Order: sequence, then C-alpha cells, then structure tokens
Amino acid sequence: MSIIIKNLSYTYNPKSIFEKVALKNINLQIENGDFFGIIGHTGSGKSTLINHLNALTRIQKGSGEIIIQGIDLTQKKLDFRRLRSEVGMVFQYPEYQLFDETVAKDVGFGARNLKLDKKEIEWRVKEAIELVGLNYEEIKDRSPFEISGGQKRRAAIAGVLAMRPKILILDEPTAGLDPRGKKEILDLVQNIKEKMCRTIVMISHNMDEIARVANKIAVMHKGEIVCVKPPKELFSEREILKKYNISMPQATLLANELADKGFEIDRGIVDEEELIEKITNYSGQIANDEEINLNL
Amino acid sequence: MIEFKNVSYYYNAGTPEQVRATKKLSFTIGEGEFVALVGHNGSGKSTVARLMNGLLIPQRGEVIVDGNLTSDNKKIFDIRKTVGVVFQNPDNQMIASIIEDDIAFGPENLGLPPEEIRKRVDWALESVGMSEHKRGTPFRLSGGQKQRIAIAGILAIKPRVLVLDESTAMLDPVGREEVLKTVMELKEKEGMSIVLITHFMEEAIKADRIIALDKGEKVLEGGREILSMSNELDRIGLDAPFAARVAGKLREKGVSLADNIYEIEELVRNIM
Repeated sequence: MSIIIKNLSYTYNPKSIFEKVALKNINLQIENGDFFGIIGHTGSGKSTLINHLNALTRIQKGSGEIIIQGIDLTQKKLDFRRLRSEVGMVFQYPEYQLFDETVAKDVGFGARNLKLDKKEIEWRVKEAIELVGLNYEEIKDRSPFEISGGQKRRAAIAGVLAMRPKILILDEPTAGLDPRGKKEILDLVQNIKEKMCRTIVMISHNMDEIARVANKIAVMHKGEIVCVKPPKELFSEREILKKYNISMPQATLLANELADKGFEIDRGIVDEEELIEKITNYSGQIANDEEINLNL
Repeated sequence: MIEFKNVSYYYNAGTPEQVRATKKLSFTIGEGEFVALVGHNGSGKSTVARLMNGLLIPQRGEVIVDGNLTSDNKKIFDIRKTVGVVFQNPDNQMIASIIEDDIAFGPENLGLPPEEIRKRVDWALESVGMSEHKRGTPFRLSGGQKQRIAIAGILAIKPRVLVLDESTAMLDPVGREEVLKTVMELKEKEGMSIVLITHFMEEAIKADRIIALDKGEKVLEGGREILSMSNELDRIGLDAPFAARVAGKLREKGVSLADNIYEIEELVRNIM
C-alpha cells in the first residue's frame, strides 16, 4: 500500500473567528501502481488534502494519520528529505515557481537539496529534462523565463522528477493550456508513470481527462471523500453525480442522452471511440432493418 | 463599441528581442454583442485583451473604444470605465483584505454615492454566487472562488464591455457554466457586450460571433459554423467542439447526419 490516510481532519485558523473546517474525517488508501484521480468543486478540500501528502501542511494534533511508503507523517521529527524523495508534488501553474538563472540549475534545485553528489545531480537533471520531452543540450543553459509557456511547465515538472519520486502528485497539471497543450501534458504524465513514478495522484476539473487516465476516482465534497470508484462506475451513477453536482465526460453525456431516448447503450461509457463504434453499429442496424422492411 | 484597425503590437519594440504579438488585426465588437476570441496559447489573445482597454497601445494601427482612441491619454479613464477586463490569474487582481471592500474598490473610484456602491457590491457578488462570503477574506478562498471575486470586482464598475481573458480556466466545469450563464444574463439584461477569450470550444459555441487567431493574425471569423471546420481548427492547435467532432467521425464511418451539428442535443436528435 502506497498511501494510507486514516481519519484525517484539518481546520484552518482553529479557535479564531476565521475558523474553517477544510477536511473532515478522510479515510483513503492509494495502492502502488494506481493512477488516482481526485475531483470536486473549488473549495471542496482537494488541495488541502494533497498538501498533507508531502507534509507541506502538517497533520494537526489528534486529527488523524497518514502513512506513505512506511513513513508516518504524524511524527514530529519527520525526515523531509526522505519523504520528498518518495513523494513529488507539482502545483497548479508550476511555471510560476521557476526562479533560477538557467533551466538546468532550476531543475536541479530540489535534487541539490537532497544533498546528492554533483555527478548524480547532473545526471538526474539530464534524465528529468529528457523525460519531460525537452532537448537537454538545447535548453539547459537558457533562462527559464525566455522559454515558451509549454516548455516552462515541462521544466517545472522536470524539477520535481529530478528528485526521482516514486509517487507523483499533480494539482490540475493541464489548467490554462490549450487543447493541444492539454493533450501533450496528459500524455507526458502517462509516460512518467510508465518510466519513473509508479503511483500518480492527480486533481482535475476536466472530467474527460480524468476519466481517460485514472483507474480510480475519489469525489470530494465539503471536506469529505464521498466516494471512490473506477471511472466507468462513477460516471454511470446518476444519483451520485446529481447529488454532488458533478458533470459527466462529454462522451458519457452523449451516451446518457441517447439512453434516455431508448437507445440501448451503457450509461457509463467514457471513451469517445467506444461510443462512436456503438452509434455506428446502431445506425448500420437501423439501415439494415429498413432494407428488410422494404424487401417485405 | 470597440474597433481594431490594422493593429500590430510588438513586445520589446526597437530592441533585438522584438516580438510581434498581433499583425494587422482588424475587427469590431458591436453594442450588446457576444464575441468569442479563440486561439492556442501564444496566439495573441491576451495581447488583444490588453489592447482593448489601453493597457497596451499599438505601435501600428488604432484601437477605438466608443469613438475614443486608446492612445489618447485624456480619455483613458473613460475607456477603462467602458471596457472591464478580467484576467487569468485572480491573485494579481485582489487588493483588499475583505471581499466586499475588494469589490467596492472600483465603484468607489468612480465617485458613486455610498448607497449605490452598496447596491452594486451586493449585486455583483450575487451575480457570481459569492454573497455568503462577502465579509470573508479573498486570500483564503480557493482559486475558482477567487476568480469569481475578480469577476465581481469588474462587474461592480458596470462596464459596457466585459472582457474575460480565460477567466474561467481555473474553474471547475460547473463553476464555468455558472460564470457563462451569468455573462449571458448580463448581456440580456444589461445589454453588456461580452468578449470571451477562451480555448474551450463548448463555450465559444454560445457566442454570436467567433474570431480565431493564430500567430497574432485573424485566421477565421464567423458564426458557429466555423467550429465544424476541424481541419482548419486542428491546423491552428484547436479542437472542434465535442459534438461536431463526433459527428464528423460518424459521417466518416458512413452514418448519415445533417450538416450543422455543434451541440450534443443536436447530435442526439440526428441519431435517433
């Protein structure tokens, strides 16, 4: 088991007039090899939850526990270096965090903090830059501020990968990108999963995207996890979707509209190609029936 | 309302790093019209937003707002009152520590009487569905909630043109739909002109007119029929809306469908 969260609660500004409960009794298990999606409305507690996973937000006293790859995050003297080489975190709009003179220095920042030797850092930086699909020789000495928006986001992700985490957490990695950029980053995340980080936790507002890549999706609502299901199951549960005001992937939406009109189709379809195939067969069937009717 | 005449804008003009962001761009935004401006990242969309309210002044060509040139320093206050721009990142747009103070900043600067300011603040917060947070602080809100506050801040000025520069990019689908609905209502009820800068094609379908940019140039302009031109859209790094894309693929497989399909309801009607 990769991540175990037990009875986790969190309150911002406790015992003040600004007191705000952000997480309520969260219980969650994320297994090695999962591509774990988290969805929920803005303000539902998604970011507060993942900030706990690399101890940026510390667990409040008596408010539950988290164990990641055997590391107990409730302990006072936490080995941050060890934790951060297990768990990498890519924030929203990570490109805003680029700061160093050159791309190579910037990407190496986290790895340098792990106190690795120089050769090792250099090697990891190269590996990370290449893994995110950038050309190392071409980009290493350039300023991170003069490369394009898409390259900046890749460079920022590379900075996290240079620490070689086994678990990668991403908070809306495709936000603000155009359709092509979204697809490229999503492909990149899948490639990272294959080559480096076996376990991925990803927050997304884009149902089409999360349905395509995740094997499990957790729904957050007002600081609680209200369900964890595989995409096909989740998006066929109309009650849940309605209750928590979750929109469907476009393909599921179309499948449901068709099902409402009497079309025999699985309401949980999330894949565009599968849907197109079903509709094509159906239309072929109708054309056939009409022909038979004519022959009669 | 707004007219762009052969507008070219260069960043770092006159230096070796000079970059052209728009090229001989001409178009108009009419009174009460809803125009979507689409294009991939780096196509010049945000530059256009900044040109619209005189944050940037073009080196070539003219931008005219309500008869006034944006290059006319004496008119810049009128222009900013007429054209309100909501940007992508709400964190750069918050100024006060209490939400309702933040919203009141714009109308206060217009020198409005206190009762009117109160009314506008309440109305603006109501419009974006954030009334319950009015005494809270914007800095503790989530990204999407902050963005709604940023939109309310501009609404309170009651501009005649509301420019949304990818302002819904950080919202969840339901939040995006709500903002879009708010925007449509403002157009209907207040006669506000809307310029929606986006790469969500499902949003662009709702516009009266769509303008597509590529490398700072206008490459497509028209009604929603341009959204079925999948090849052209693909060439400039955009996607056709879902229903148009699926309809296209179904036609390729020999399913006979009507020509103009852009929304899921239309597709369903055609299949059944």
